Amino acid sequence: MAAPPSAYRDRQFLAVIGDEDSVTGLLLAGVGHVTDPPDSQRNFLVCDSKTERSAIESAFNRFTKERKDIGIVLINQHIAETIRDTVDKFQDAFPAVLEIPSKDHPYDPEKDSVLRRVRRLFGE
Amino acid sequence: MADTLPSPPESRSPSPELEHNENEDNLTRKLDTLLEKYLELLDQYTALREELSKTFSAGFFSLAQAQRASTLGAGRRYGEECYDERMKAQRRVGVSEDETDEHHVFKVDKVVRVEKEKNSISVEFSTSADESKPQEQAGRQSLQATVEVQGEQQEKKLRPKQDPAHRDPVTWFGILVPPALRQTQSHFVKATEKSIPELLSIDSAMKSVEAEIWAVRDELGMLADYDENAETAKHAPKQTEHDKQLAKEQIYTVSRRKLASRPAHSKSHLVQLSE
Repeated sequence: MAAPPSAYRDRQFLAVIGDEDSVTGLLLAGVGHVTDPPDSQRNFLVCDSKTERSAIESAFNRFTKERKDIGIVLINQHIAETIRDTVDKFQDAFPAVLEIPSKDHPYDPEKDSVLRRVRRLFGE
Repeated sequence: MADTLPSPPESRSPSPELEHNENEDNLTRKLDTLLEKYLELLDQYTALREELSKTFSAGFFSLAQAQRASTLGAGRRYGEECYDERMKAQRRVGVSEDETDEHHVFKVDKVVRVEKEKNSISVEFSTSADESKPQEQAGRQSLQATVEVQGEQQEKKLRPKQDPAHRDPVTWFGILVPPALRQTQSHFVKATEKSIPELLSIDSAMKSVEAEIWAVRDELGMLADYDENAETAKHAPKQTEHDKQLAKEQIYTVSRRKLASRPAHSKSHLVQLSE
Protein backbone atom coordinates (compact mmCIF):
# COMPACT_ATOMS: atom_id res chain seq x y z
CA MET A 1 0.00 0.00 0.00
CA ALA A 2 2.75 2.35 0.93
CA ALA A 3 3.66 4.63 -1.93
CA PRO A 4 7.31 5.49 -2.64
CA PRO A 5 8.62 8.70 -1.03
CA SER A 6 8.71 10.36 -4.45
CA ALA A 7 4.92 10.23 -4.42
CA TYR A 8 4.63 12.53 -1.42
CA ARG A 9 7.95 14.25 -0.73
CA ASP A 10 6.97 17.53 -2.36
CA ARG A 11 3.34 17.49 -1.29
CA GLN A 12 3.49 20.14 1.38
CA PHE A 13 0.23 22.04 1.10
CA LEU A 14 -3.29 21.47 2.32
CA ALA A 15 -6.05 22.43 -0.12
CA VAL A 16 -9.59 23.34 0.88
CA ILE A 17 -12.91 23.20 -0.95
CA GLY A 18 -15.58 24.50 1.36
CA ASP A 19 -18.15 27.08 2.31
CA GLU A 20 -16.93 30.51 3.37
CA ASP A 21 -16.77 29.78 7.10
CA SER A 22 -14.87 26.52 6.66
CA VAL A 23 -12.34 28.14 4.34
CA THR A 24 -11.99 31.21 6.57
CA GLY A 25 -11.37 29.02 9.61
CA LEU A 26 -8.78 26.89 7.87
CA LEU A 27 -7.05 29.91 6.35
CA LEU A 28 -6.90 31.45 9.83
CA ALA A 29 -5.01 28.30 10.80
CA GLY A 30 -2.46 29.24 8.14
CA VAL A 31 -3.02 26.67 5.41
CA GLY A 32 -3.78 29.19 2.65
CA HIS A 33 -1.25 29.57 -0.12
CA VAL A 34 -1.26 31.62 -3.28
CA THR A 35 1.61 30.91 -5.65
CA ASP A 36 3.59 33.81 -6.99
CA PRO A 37 2.39 35.72 -10.03
CA PRO A 38 2.11 35.69 -13.01
CA ASP A 39 0.45 32.28 -12.74
CA SER A 40 -1.04 32.75 -9.26
CA GLN A 41 -2.88 29.70 -8.05
CA ARG A 42 -4.91 29.48 -4.88
CA ASN A 43 -5.09 26.29 -2.89
CA PHE A 44 -8.69 26.89 -1.85
CA LEU A 45 -12.14 27.34 -3.32
CA VAL A 46 -14.96 29.11 -1.49
CA CYS A 47 -18.32 27.62 -2.47
CA ASP A 48 -21.85 28.80 -1.90
CA SER A 49 -25.20 27.59 -3.18
CA LYS A 50 -24.56 29.34 -6.49
CA THR A 51 -21.22 27.66 -7.18
CA GLU A 52 -21.50 25.49 -10.28
CA ARG A 53 -20.92 21.79 -9.90
CA SER A 54 -18.40 21.98 -12.75
CA ALA A 55 -16.36 24.60 -10.86
CA ILE A 56 -16.20 22.34 -7.79
CA GLU A 57 -15.27 19.38 -9.92
CA SER A 58 -12.52 21.20 -11.75
CA ALA A 59 -11.07 22.50 -8.46
CA PHE A 60 -11.11 18.97 -7.06
CA ASN A 61 -9.37 17.62 -10.15
CA ARG A 62 -6.86 20.44 -10.10
CA PHE A 63 -5.96 19.77 -6.45
CA THR A 64 -5.87 15.99 -6.77
CA LYS A 65 -4.50 15.40 -10.25
CA GLU A 66 -2.78 18.44 -11.71
CA ARG A 67 -0.96 19.95 -8.76
CA LYS A 68 1.84 17.85 -7.33
CA ASP A 69 2.46 20.08 -4.31
CA ILE A 70 -0.73 19.25 -2.42
CA GLY A 71 -0.62 16.56 0.24
CA ILE A 72 -4.09 16.85 1.77
CA VAL A 73 -7.37 17.93 0.22
CA LEU A 74 -10.08 18.96 2.68
CA ILE A 75 -13.59 19.16 1.32
CA ASN A 76 -16.88 19.83 3.10
CA GLN A 77 -18.85 16.62 3.15
CA HIS A 78 -21.96 18.27 1.69
CA ILE A 79 -19.90 19.67 -1.18
CA ALA A 80 -18.26 16.28 -1.75
CA GLU A 81 -21.80 14.90 -2.11
CA THR A 82 -22.39 17.09 -5.15
CA ILE A 83 -19.42 15.52 -6.93
CA ARG A 84 -19.66 12.12 -5.25
CA ASP A 85 -18.69 10.11 -8.35
CA THR A 86 -15.52 12.10 -8.84
CA VAL A 87 -14.56 11.95 -5.16
CA ASP A 88 -15.14 8.20 -4.91
CA LYS A 89 -13.32 7.49 -8.13
CA PHE A 90 -10.20 9.14 -6.78
CA GLN A 91 -8.41 6.25 -5.06
CA ASP A 92 -4.77 7.38 -5.03
CA ALA A 93 -2.91 7.54 -1.75
CA PHE A 94 -1.78 11.10 -2.54
CA PRO A 95 -3.08 13.61 -2.04
CA ALA A 96 -5.13 12.27 0.86
CA VAL A 97 -8.75 13.44 0.72
CA LEU A 98 -10.65 14.12 3.93
CA GLU A 99 -14.28 15.11 4.13
CA ILE A 100 -14.89 17.65 6.87
CA PRO A 101 -18.06 18.93 8.51
CA SER A 102 -19.41 22.39 7.80
CA LYS A 103 -21.40 24.81 9.90
CA ASP A 104 -24.78 23.84 8.47
CA HIS A 105 -24.02 20.21 7.63
CA PRO A 106 -22.57 18.16 10.48
CA TYR A 107 -20.55 15.05 9.72
CA ASP A 108 -22.79 12.22 8.53
CA PRO A 109 -21.27 8.73 9.05
CA GLU A 110 -23.64 7.32 6.38
CA LYS A 111 -21.86 9.39 3.75
CA ASP A 112 -18.33 8.81 5.01
CA SER A 113 -16.31 7.01 2.36
CA VAL A 114 -14.14 5.33 5.02
CA LEU A 115 -17.14 3.84 6.79
CA ARG A 116 -18.61 2.70 3.49
CA ARG A 117 -15.37 0.85 2.88
CA VAL A 118 -15.72 -0.72 6.34
CA ARG A 119 -19.22 -1.90 5.50
CA ARG A 120 -17.97 -3.45 2.27
CA LEU A 121 -15.22 -5.21 4.15
CA PHE A 122 -17.76 -6.80 6.45
CA GLY A 123 -19.94 -7.77 3.53
CA GLU A 124 -22.81 -5.43 4.25
CA MET B 1 1.07 -35.70 14.39
CA ALA B 2 3.35 -33.03 13.16
CA ASP B 3 6.26 -35.50 13.40
CA THR B 4 4.81 -37.55 10.61
CA LEU B 5 4.68 -34.54 8.36
CA PRO B 6 7.91 -33.74 6.63
CA SER B 7 6.87 -30.52 5.05
CA PRO B 8 9.19 -28.87 2.61
CA PRO B 9 7.06 -26.13 1.20
CA GLU B 10 7.18 -27.03 -2.47
CA SER B 11 7.22 -30.84 -2.44
CA ARG B 12 4.15 -33.02 -2.20
CA SER B 13 3.63 -34.19 1.34
CA PRO B 14 2.43 -37.70 2.12
CA SER B 15 -0.81 -36.30 3.48
CA PRO B 16 -1.74 -33.24 1.47
CA GLU B 17 -5.09 -32.89 3.15
CA LEU B 18 -3.57 -32.50 6.60
CA GLU B 19 -1.11 -29.95 5.37
CA HIS B 20 -3.84 -28.13 3.60
CA ASN B 21 -5.85 -27.92 6.79
CA GLU B 22 -2.93 -26.60 8.73
CA ASN B 23 -2.33 -23.96 6.15
CA GLU B 24 -5.95 -22.98 6.27
CA ASP B 25 -5.84 -22.78 10.07
CA ASN B 26 -2.87 -20.47 9.86
CA LEU B 27 -4.62 -18.26 7.39
CA THR B 28 -7.77 -18.17 9.49
CA ARG B 29 -5.76 -17.17 12.52
CA LYS B 30 -4.06 -14.49 10.48
CA LEU B 31 -7.43 -13.23 9.33
CA ASP B 32 -8.58 -13.00 12.95
CA THR B 33 -5.54 -11.01 13.96
CA LEU B 34 -6.07 -8.66 11.07
CA LEU B 35 -9.74 -8.17 11.81
CA GLU B 36 -8.97 -7.51 15.44
CA LYS B 37 -6.41 -4.91 14.47
CA TYR B 38 -8.83 -3.41 11.98
CA LEU B 39 -11.55 -3.00 14.60
CA GLU B 40 -9.12 -1.23 16.90
CA LEU B 41 -8.25 1.19 14.12
CA LEU B 42 -11.93 1.70 13.37
CA ASP B 43 -12.51 2.56 17.01
CA GLN B 44 -9.75 5.17 16.90
CA TYR B 45 -11.13 6.53 13.65
CA THR B 46 -14.60 6.98 15.14
CA ALA B 47 -13.21 8.73 18.22
CA LEU B 48 -11.11 11.08 16.08
CA ARG B 49 -14.10 11.85 13.87
CA GLU B 50 -16.02 12.89 16.96
CA GLU B 51 -13.14 15.04 18.11
CA LEU B 52 -12.88 16.71 14.70
CA SER B 53 -16.60 17.46 14.66
CA LYS B 54 -16.39 19.03 18.11
CA THR B 55 -13.39 21.16 17.21
CA PHE B 56 -15.02 22.36 14.00
CA SER B 57 -18.28 23.18 15.81
CA ALA B 58 -16.38 25.18 18.41
CA GLY B 59 -14.54 26.98 15.60
CA PHE B 60 -17.74 27.81 13.74
CA PHE B 61 -19.34 29.02 16.95
CA SER B 62 -16.45 31.38 17.71
CA LEU B 63 -16.49 32.65 14.14
CA ALA B 64 -20.21 33.39 14.41
CA GLN B 65 -19.54 35.28 17.65
CA ALA B 66 -16.83 37.26 15.93
CA GLN B 67 -19.19 38.09 13.06
CA ARG B 68 -21.83 39.33 15.50
CA ALA B 69 -19.40 41.57 17.32
CA SER B 70 -17.70 42.56 14.07
CA THR B 71 -15.84 45.83 13.97
CA LEU B 72 -15.43 45.66 10.22
CA GLY B 73 -18.32 47.94 9.42
CA ALA B 74 -21.76 47.46 7.96
CA GLY B 75 -22.22 44.53 5.62
CA ARG B 76 -18.66 43.28 5.94
CA ARG B 77 -17.80 39.87 7.27
CA TYR B 78 -14.75 37.94 8.31
CA GLY B 79 -14.64 36.12 5.04
CA GLU B 80 -13.37 35.84 1.53
CA GLU B 81 -13.28 39.55 0.68
CA CYS B 82 -10.67 40.17 3.37
CA TYR B 83 -8.26 37.36 2.48
CA ASP B 84 -4.73 38.52 1.76
CA GLU B 85 -4.07 37.37 -1.79
CA ARG B 86 -0.32 37.19 -1.13
CA MET B 87 -0.75 34.57 1.57
CA LYS B 88 1.80 31.80 1.96
CA ALA B 89 1.12 28.58 3.79
CA GLN B 90 2.37 28.68 7.37
CA ARG B 91 1.21 25.19 8.21
CA ARG B 92 2.40 22.49 5.90
CA VAL B 93 2.11 18.77 5.43
CA GLY B 94 4.81 16.25 6.16
CA VAL B 95 4.39 12.59 5.26
CA SER B 96 6.49 9.71 6.46
CA GLU B 97 6.19 5.98 6.39
CA ASP B 98 5.39 4.10 9.55
CA GLU B 99 8.38 2.03 10.65
CA THR B 100 6.55 -1.05 11.84
CA ASP B 101 3.66 -0.99 9.45
CA GLU B 102 3.36 -0.13 5.82
CA HIS B 103 1.19 2.92 6.01
CA HIS B 104 1.69 6.65 5.83
CA VAL B 105 1.85 8.98 8.78
CA PHE B 106 0.65 12.52 8.18
CA LYS B 107 1.79 15.56 10.11
CA VAL B 108 0.89 19.20 9.82
CA ASP B 109 3.36 21.60 11.38
CA LYS B 110 3.99 25.28 11.48
CA VAL B 111 6.88 26.35 9.31
CA VAL B 112 9.19 28.72 11.09
CA ARG B 113 10.69 30.27 8.00
CA VAL B 114 8.86 30.40 4.70
CA GLU B 115 11.19 30.23 1.76
CA LYS B 116 9.94 32.49 -0.92
CA GLU B 117 10.13 31.37 -4.51
CA LYS B 118 11.50 28.00 -3.60
CA ASN B 119 8.03 26.52 -3.70
CA SER B 120 7.27 27.26 -7.29
CA ILE B 121 10.57 25.75 -8.25
CA SER B 122 10.07 22.63 -6.22
CA VAL B 123 6.67 22.19 -7.83
CA GLU B 124 8.34 22.07 -11.17
CA PHE B 125 10.83 19.60 -9.80
CA SER B 126 8.21 17.33 -8.33
CA THR B 127 6.41 17.09 -11.66
CA SER B 128 9.55 15.99 -13.42
CA ALA B 129 10.35 13.53 -10.63
CA ASP B 130 6.91 12.01 -10.99
CA GLU B 131 7.42 11.35 -14.63
CA SER B 132 10.80 9.74 -14.13
CA LYS B 133 11.26 6.29 -12.67
CA PRO B 134 11.91 6.08 -8.93
CA GLN B 135 15.14 4.17 -9.57
CA GLU B 136 16.84 7.18 -11.07
CA GLN B 137 18.26 8.14 -7.70
CA ALA B 138 21.45 9.82 -8.77
CA GLY B 139 19.87 12.05 -11.38
CA ARG B 140 17.14 13.07 -9.01
CA GLN B 141 19.49 13.97 -6.20
CA SER B 142 21.59 16.23 -8.34
CA LEU B 143 18.45 17.88 -9.67
CA GLN B 144 17.26 18.47 -6.14
CA ALA B 145 20.59 20.02 -5.18
CA THR B 146 20.39 22.47 -8.08
CA VAL B 147 16.86 23.36 -7.19
CA GLU B 148 17.77 24.13 -3.59
CA VAL B 149 20.69 26.33 -4.55
CA GLN B 150 18.49 28.29 -6.95
CA GLY B 151 15.82 28.59 -4.29
CA GLU B 152 18.22 29.99 -1.71
CA GLN B 153 19.67 32.52 -4.09
CA GLN B 154 16.29 33.83 -5.11
CA GLU B 155 15.18 33.89 -1.54
CA LYS B 156 18.00 36.25 -0.58
CA LYS B 157 17.21 38.55 -3.45
CA LEU B 158 13.47 38.61 -3.17
CA ARG B 159 12.66 38.53 0.49
CA PRO B 160 11.21 41.87 1.51
CA LYS B 161 11.20 43.05 5.10
CA GLN B 162 7.45 42.82 5.63
CA ASP B 163 6.96 39.48 4.02
CA PRO B 164 3.22 38.76 3.71
CA ALA B 165 4.15 35.14 4.13
CA HIS B 166 4.90 35.82 7.78
CA ARG B 167 1.77 37.81 8.45
CA ASP B 168 -0.57 36.14 10.89
CA PRO B 169 -3.83 35.52 8.98
CA VAL B 170 -5.76 36.78 11.98
CA THR B 171 -4.55 40.30 11.14
CA TRP B 172 -5.95 40.24 7.59
CA PHE B 173 -9.16 41.71 8.90
CA GLY B 174 -7.71 44.71 10.69
CA ILE B 175 -5.33 45.62 13.48
CA LEU B 176 -7.93 45.19 16.20
CA VAL B 177 -8.43 41.48 16.45
CA PRO B 178 -11.55 40.48 18.37
CA PRO B 179 -10.90 37.74 20.94
CA ALA B 180 -13.56 35.54 19.31
CA LEU B 181 -11.56 35.55 16.08
CA ARG B 182 -8.44 34.48 17.94
CA GLN B 183 -10.46 31.68 19.48
CA THR B 184 -11.69 30.66 16.04
CA GLN B 185 -8.09 30.52 14.93
CA SER B 186 -6.99 28.34 17.83
CA HIS B 187 -9.82 25.84 17.22
CA PHE B 188 -8.93 25.51 13.56
CA VAL B 189 -5.23 25.25 14.36
CA LYS B 190 -6.05 22.35 16.67
CA ALA B 191 -8.10 20.65 13.94
CA THR B 192 -5.37 21.19 11.38
CA GLU B 193 -2.43 20.11 13.50
CA LYS B 194 -4.02 17.28 15.39
CA SER B 195 -7.32 15.73 14.29
CA ILE B 196 -6.87 16.00 10.53
CA PRO B 197 -3.40 14.41 10.23
CA GLU B 198 -4.31 11.77 12.81
CA LEU B 199 -7.48 10.85 10.94
CA LEU B 200 -5.57 10.53 7.70
CA SER B 201 -2.86 8.40 9.30
CA ILE B 202 -5.48 6.05 10.73
CA ASP B 203 -7.24 5.93 7.37
CA SER B 204 -3.97 4.98 5.71
CA ALA B 205 -3.40 2.23 8.29
CA MET B 206 -6.94 0.96 7.75
CA LYS B 207 -6.42 0.79 4.00
CA SER B 208 -3.25 -1.19 4.51
CA VAL B 209 -4.96 -3.72 6.83
CA GLU B 210 -7.95 -3.91 4.47
CA ALA B 211 -5.67 -4.89 1.63
CA GLU B 212 -4.21 -7.66 3.76
CA ILE B 213 -7.63 -8.89 4.81
CA TRP B 214 -8.79 -9.10 1.21
CA ALA B 215 -5.61 -10.95 0.28
CA VAL B 216 -6.03 -13.53 3.07
CA ARG B 217 -9.67 -13.99 2.14
CA ASP B 218 -8.55 -14.52 -1.43
CA GLU B 219 -6.19 -17.29 -0.32
CA LEU B 220 -8.93 -18.86 1.76
CA GLY B 221 -11.19 -18.81 -1.28
CA MET B 222 -13.71 -16.63 0.53
CA LEU B 223 -13.73 -13.84 -2.01
CA ALA B 224 -16.81 -14.95 -3.89
CA ASP B 225 -18.95 -14.36 -0.78
CA TYR B 226 -17.78 -10.80 -0.45
CA ASP B 227 -17.35 -9.83 -4.08
CA GLU B 228 -20.97 -10.28 -4.92
CA ASN B 229 -21.95 -8.41 -1.81
CA ALA B 230 -19.50 -5.68 -2.48
CA GLU B 231 -20.57 -5.18 -6.07
CA THR B 232 -24.23 -5.01 -5.26
CA ALA B 233 -23.85 -3.17 -1.99
CA LYS B 234 -26.13 -0.21 -1.89
CA HIS B 235 -23.44 1.93 -0.34
CA ALA B 236 -20.78 1.03 -2.85
CA PRO B 237 -19.50 3.99 -4.83
CA LYS B 238 -20.73 4.16 -8.36
CA GLN B 239 -17.63 2.93 -10.10
CA THR B 240 -17.41 1.28 -13.43
CA GLU B 241 -16.58 -2.41 -13.49
CA HIS B 242 -13.23 -1.57 -14.95
CA ASP B 243 -12.34 0.79 -12.09
CA LYS B 244 -13.30 -1.79 -9.50
CA GLN B 245 -11.21 -4.43 -11.19
CA LEU B 246 -8.24 -2.09 -11.35
CA ALA B 247 -8.51 -1.12 -7.69
CA LYS B 248 -8.80 -4.72 -6.62
CA GLU B 249 -5.84 -5.87 -8.65
CA GLN B 250 -3.77 -3.11 -7.12
CA ILE B 251 -4.74 -4.10 -3.60
CA TYR B 252 -4.07 -7.79 -4.12
CA THR B 253 -0.68 -7.43 -5.71
CA VAL B 254 0.57 -5.05 -3.07
CA SER B 255 -0.66 -7.10 -0.16
CA ARG B 256 0.55 -10.47 -1.46
CA ARG B 257 4.05 -9.15 -1.26
CA LYS B 258 3.60 -8.35 2.41
CA LEU B 259 1.81 -11.48 3.49
CA ALA B 260 4.80 -13.67 4.14
CA SER B 261 6.41 -11.26 6.59
CA ARG B 262 3.62 -11.18 9.17
CA PRO B 263 3.34 -13.67 12.01
CA ALA B 264 -0.13 -14.99 12.77
CA HIS B 265 -1.20 -15.53 16.35
CA SER B 266 -4.66 -15.01 17.69
CA LYS B 267 -7.89 -16.52 18.84
CA SER B 268 -10.50 -17.21 16.27
CA HIS B 269 -13.53 -15.54 17.77
CA LEU B 270 -13.65 -12.77 15.24
CA VAL B 271 -14.33 -14.90 12.22
CA GLN B 272 -18.04 -14.57 12.73
CA LEU B 273 -17.76 -10.87 12.21
CA SER B 274 -16.85 -11.38 8.62
CA GLU B 275 -20.01 -13.28 7.88
